[in-house]
Formats: sequence, C-alpha cells, structure tokens
Amino acid sequence: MYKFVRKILHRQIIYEGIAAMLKSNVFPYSALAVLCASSTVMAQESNSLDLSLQELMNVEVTSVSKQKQPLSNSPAAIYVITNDAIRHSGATSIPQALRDVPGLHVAQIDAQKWAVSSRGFNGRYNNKLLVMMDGRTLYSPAFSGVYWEVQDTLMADIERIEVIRGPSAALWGANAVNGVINIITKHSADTLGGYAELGAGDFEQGFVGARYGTKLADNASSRLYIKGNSRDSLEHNPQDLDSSLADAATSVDKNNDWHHLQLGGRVDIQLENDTSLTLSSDLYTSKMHQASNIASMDSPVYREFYSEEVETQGVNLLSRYTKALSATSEYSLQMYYDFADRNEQLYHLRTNTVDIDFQHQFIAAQDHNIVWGLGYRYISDDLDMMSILTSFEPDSTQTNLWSAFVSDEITILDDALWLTLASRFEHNDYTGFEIQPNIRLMWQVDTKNSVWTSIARAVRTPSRVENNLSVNALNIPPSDVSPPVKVFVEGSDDYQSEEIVSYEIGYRFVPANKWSFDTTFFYNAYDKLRSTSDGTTDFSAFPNYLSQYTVFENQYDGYNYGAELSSMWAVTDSLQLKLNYSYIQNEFGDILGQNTQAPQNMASTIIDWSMTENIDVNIVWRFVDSTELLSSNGTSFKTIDGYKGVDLGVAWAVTPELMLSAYGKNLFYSSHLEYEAESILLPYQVGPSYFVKASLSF
Amino acid sequence: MKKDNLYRPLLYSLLAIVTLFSGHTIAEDSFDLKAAFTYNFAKFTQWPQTRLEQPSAWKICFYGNQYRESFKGLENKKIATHAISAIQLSETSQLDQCDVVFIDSGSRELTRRIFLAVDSKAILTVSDIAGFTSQGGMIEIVEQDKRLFFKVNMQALEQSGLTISSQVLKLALEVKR
Repeated sequence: MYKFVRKILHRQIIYEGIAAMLKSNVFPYSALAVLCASSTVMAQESNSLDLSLQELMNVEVTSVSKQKQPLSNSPAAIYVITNDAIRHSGATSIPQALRDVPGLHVAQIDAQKWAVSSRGFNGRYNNKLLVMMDGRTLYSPAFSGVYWEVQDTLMADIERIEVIRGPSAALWGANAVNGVINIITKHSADTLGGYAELGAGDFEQGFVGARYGTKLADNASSRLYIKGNSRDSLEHNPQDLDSSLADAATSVDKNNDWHHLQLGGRVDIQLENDTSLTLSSDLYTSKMHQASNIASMDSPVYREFYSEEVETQGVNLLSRYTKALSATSEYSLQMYYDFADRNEQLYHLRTNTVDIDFQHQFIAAQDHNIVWGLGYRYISDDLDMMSILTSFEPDSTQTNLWSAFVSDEITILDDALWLTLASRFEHNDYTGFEIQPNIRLMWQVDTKNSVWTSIARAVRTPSRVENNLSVNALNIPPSDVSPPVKVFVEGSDDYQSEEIVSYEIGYRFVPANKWSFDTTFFYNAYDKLRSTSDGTTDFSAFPNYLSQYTVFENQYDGYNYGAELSSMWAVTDSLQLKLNYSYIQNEFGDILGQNTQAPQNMASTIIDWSMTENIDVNIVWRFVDSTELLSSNGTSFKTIDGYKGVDLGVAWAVTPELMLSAYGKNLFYSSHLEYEAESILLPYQVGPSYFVKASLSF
Repeated sequence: MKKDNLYRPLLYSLLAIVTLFSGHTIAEDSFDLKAAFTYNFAKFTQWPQTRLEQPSAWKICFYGNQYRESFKGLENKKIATHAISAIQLSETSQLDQCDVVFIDSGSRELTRRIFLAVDSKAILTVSDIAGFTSQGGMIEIVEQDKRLFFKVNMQALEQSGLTISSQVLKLALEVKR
C-alpha cells in the first residue's frame, strides 16, 4: 500500500527496454513488451515502512504534491486556494488568484481595478464582501468597498486564501453579507532564505519581487519583501460607452496603466512554548491613470470627461500576541494601525484606522467548543472633495465600532453531529446596534459523505456616502419645457443597514481519495436594500437650472437562489482535473439602487499536469454568463455579454532553485468587457495577454 | 516501405516519451515518508516500563487530513509486540490518549496548546513545522535537497522522560541539548 518505487532502477529497465525495442523490427510486440516490463517494475515496489531510518533518508521526495484541493469539514461554503494553486496559475495579484473559485464572480474593470463578489451585488464598490489579510480588514468603510489595486503582497508568501461564500458575519463582522475572503500569509519560519522573481509581458510590462527570510534567534524568525510592478492600459472600445456620451469621450486620454511598489516584513517570536508574538508591517505607493466622467453644466451632454493620475499610499502595522492557557484554551490580542491615502480629483481621502481585537477559545464541559471575542475599531477620515461632492458633516469624521461575538460548537454525537450557535453584537455610529446571529449544523454521515446546513442573518452597514455626503450625480439636459436639472443624491441619518437572511445547505462527497465533490445550495432573502426617494425639487435657481434632491432610502428587497459545485478528480498523481460551476437565479425585479445581478452560469475547468518531474502545465478554461449592471446614468440596465477565456501556464524547474515559466491569459477568444465600474469610469476591454517569469530561491 | 521507415522512429520516440512520463506517476511524495519516519522514531524510542507493560496498542495520533492514508498504513505494523492504532485528531483535547503525535505543517496554530497538552508526559511529538524543535517540539522533519532529514530536541525529550536511541541521534541533522 504505502510504497515508493526505486525509480532509478525502474527508469533503467525502461531505457534498456526501449533500446532493445529500437533494435527489433516488430514494433507492436516490442512496444507491448516494454509496457509489460515497466508494469512489472511497478509491481516490484518496496514498502517504505520496511526501510530503516538511514534508508529513508536516502529516498528522494518527489516534487509532485499529493495535496489535492483541500476539503474543509466546516459547515460553510468554503473553498481554499493553496499556495500551489497560486503558483500554478501564475497569478501576479490577489484578484487574479481569485478567478475560477466556484461561485465567485471576478471581473477586471481596467488595468488596476477589479470587481469581486459572490452571489451577486458585484461592483468596484462591492459592499457585501468582507476581505481580510492576516486579521486586518481590507474593506474601506468610507466608500464601502475594497481597493483591490492597493491590496497586495508577494504572491509566493501567501500560504492560502480562504473564500467563504454566504454570510459569516457572526464570526467576521458586518459586511460579511455575501462572503468573506481571508488571505493568510506564511509564518516567517516557513519563508527562510532568499527568493527573487522577475517577469515581463505585453500587459504585465514588468514585475519584480524579492524576499529574504532569516532566523533572528533560536525562537524568532523574520522576513522582508519588496514587490513592484508596472501594468499597461487596457483598451477602450467606444462601442461600450453609452452612445450619447461617445462623442464627449473621444478626446479624453484613455490611459489606465498602473505602477505599484510595496515593501513589508514580518517577525514571529515564540516567547514561550505556549506564547507567540507576530509583528508585521506593509508600506505601499501606487500611481495609476484613469479617465472619469462627472456631471457638468456643459452642453450638449452635460457631462465632463477628464483623465488624471491617481496617487495612493498606505502603511499598516500589526501585532498579535497569542497565549495558550491550557491544552484546550487559548487567547489572542491583536492590534493594528492602518493608514491609507487616495488622491483623486473627485476626492482625496485619508483614513486612519486603529483596531483592537481580543479573542478567546476554549472547550467547556467536553462538548462545547467556545470562541468569544471583543473588538473596537476607530476610524478617522479626512475628505477633500470636488464641488460635485459635499458633506453635511465636517470633512473629517471619526467613527467608533464596538463589537462582541460568541460562538459555541456543540458536539451532539461524537465525530458525527455538531451544532454551532453564534452571534455577533455590534454598535456603529450610523445605525446603532446590529445583531447578526447564525445557526449551523454539520452531519458527518460516514467517511465519504457529509451534510451541513446554515441559517444566518447579516447586515451591510452604511458608508459615509449613504450617511452624510451629497453627490451631484447627474445633470439632465434642458428640454423645451424645462431648464437643465441637477440631480443630487444625498445621504441620510435615517439610512439603515441592508439586511440578508441566508439559508444554505451543503453536501460533500468523497467517494475515493481521487475524487471529491462539494456542493452548496442557497437561498438569500435581502431586505432594506438601497433605494432613492422620489425627492424634492428646488426652483430657487430657475430659470438657470432646477435642483432635484433624492435621498437614500431602504425601500427595495429581493432574493436570489442557486447552487455551486466544486469537484476534483486526481486522474493520476501528476494529473489533476477540477471542475467548478455555479448557477444563480436573480429575483430583484427592476430595482435600480445598485447592481444586484450575478452571471447566471459560471464554469471553470482547471487542469494541473506535472508533465515531468520538472515541468508543470496549468490549463484553465472558463465561461462567465452575461449579466446586467446599472448603466452610467443609473436609470436603466446595461447588459455585459457572456465571455469565455483560456489561461495557459508552463513552469519549468531548471534546477531546484531556478524556475522559468510562461503564461498566457484570456487566450483564444476576442477582447471583451468583463465589467464596468459604477457610473463615473470608462469601460475597458480585457483581451489576450502573455508574460514570462523567472524565479530563484537561494 | 519508405513511409513506414519514416514513421517508426516517430512512433518509438512517442512511446518512449509516454512510458517515461507515465513512470513518473507512480512516484510517491512526502506523506508516506513522513509517516514512515514517525514510525521509526517511535520504534527507536525507549518507552517507560509502565507503558511497555500495558497491553494496549500504540496510539500514533496525527493532524492533517492528507496524512490519513499514510498513517492508517502503520496499523499493519507493530512496535515491541504491541499493535499500532492510528488516530486522526483535529482538536487538542484528546492528546492524553496518544503515545506519539505527528503535527502537520498546516496545524502550526495548534502547537501552543499541544505543547501544554503533552507537557511532561511521555508523548513523542514529531512535526514537519519549520522551527518545531526550537519552539519546544521533540523531533522536526526537514526537507533539504529533495530528501528528508530530522532535528532532535533533547531537552524536550528529557522533560517527558523519553529517550531516543543513540543510533537515531547519530543520523540527526542537529541535536539540541
């Protein structure tokens, strides 16, 4: 059973067989003979358990990883992207690594910007997905979304990315409405030594990365890294723009390139057997171009286009102290500071975040695995704005978020049935108390089958825009009966959190070690979704213009349901196939408050093939169905056509230290629109691209 | 005939490639090897007389789902006439029953609690977590140049009342005293 082959002997026999075969004239028979010979050798395996320690130390470890797609046994729709999967895909940034996760809609907006969501509500400012890196939230509360272009790290140092679809706000906090993405980097003891990578291509014009990890003491390790990249612009196709705006947009610079530089480090100290301390910090600066359009009073379209260079900087410092109190009890205290500065013409936003989290887990009365925690987050922001944006509050605001959570996993039947009761209690300055409970049940039927189910409530708390900003979103050109109308969308103190109640059921089936199936069915009911009031009209500037004020309200509701499947088949140890598929039915009627729709069907097939001991091939084929999003004026829907794409990657380990690789992305299909940013940015097309990369470990 | 001559080398080389590449697919990776190492460490450990007198099977516990098959394979083996029972763990509450525990590198977050659980008990700890012996573990399996080696922490062993054969120590990459 647990055998390895003395490969050298094996190969030698094959070589001899082939040599003999080449001499002989009877091809089919000799071929058969060689195959028989090789299969005989396969049968002559020796059991590694019969070997002495000394012999074991002489056995070569193959580079083929047997670790299949890790299947979780937690009662949630969870998918894990391993470090291996990231390496095989050649992803140069985090959003790229998220592509092809079942149920995740990952769409590129321009060279820097991405829209990532699960189960609908996608957008540049997707406010229903929580994203964390090593315990630090990457979600920007002021504009409620993730600036993916500044959330980066050295990809080789990522241990895994956990993607949880569905609400898990009870554990992770508000805005974990449709999912959580949790990026976990490696412990510094796992990144000792040097690593450097260098690559370039047509779209990825150049990227470099380097890391050096060192032992500071017997009980302390550290690493430092640096990463820089330069990306070319994506192409703009005027046909993607609303025809009424096409003319006005012709002269604007469409440049959307991206230049990013980041450095950081981490120190891990084992203070005692039972106590550890982690310190980490990252620092980035990013420059990019974008072309925007905003409301203006210039005829004929009453919209002004401009291009600009956006600058953004950030720094964070994190410390986490973890101490075990007994074999079954441990607490951790984490503190971080995060500063982010984003300077655009429309707004210049600086945020300072201080976050303190305490967490304690212990086992009580044998059957109760309890985790509870307390958290406090202070955010101070400073906003300078263009005249189309105004704030009712001072430009600088301070907000406090208090939270407490408890989760009790109860073992009802040993190794078979678990019930988890959890809830989070939060207090935020905009909507006050929020309660986000969750009940989950997990049934391990046998070693091959397991079923789980969950009911959860989560909320999406308001952003500053929805609470205290006013945006001159749109100017309606004059008509025979009316002067121009300035349309303002205003935040309100009465604006409440959006709510979701989600029902999920999941089934995992592992018929054999080489096969696995993971399916989830969900029904999400949304309430208090963002809407705008009919508004009041101000005639004071008549006859120059009218002002129409609409206020954010929570009048919309809707639901979606669907199914997600991820499956894996390890054909051999060196060939692995994955098929991921998701289906969603969107039932939101014609509501125009935000993007609600997700592509109805999404599918990916991923082939990982270790062609030889030194050559790995990665082939991905994907299909993303058409979807609808709000058009640029916010009064109708725009259809984004479905698209297909193929990614290819070949990596050659020239020596154990040196790896050369080449990647093609979005191949074999024409350029297409993947998604569009909300209203003010130009649409860009994603098309085929390639890059090559060399990486060196030392 | 000419055509045949042209195709034959091509077919041969194709076959050769297929055969060579398929040979690769039966090679093993490190999971079985690490289980085999753990078995050997247990075999060459001097267990307390009280434990040897107990007739119960050796309990070799392990963390990490992907090691399941490799460790279950140990159940065909024996150590000092006792049978072996391989037990998969996911929590730290059931460590008391184990004689040996293998902690996979994915379970680093559990080590603090595991060290408290095995403290001063005759439980042999083996792991492929980088830095395991310097953090309080007994035997650390290390991969270097595609081969597996190991480090031993004598202090931790002594505290637990276990001793490991000097033959094993001779093979160790590093012995922390």
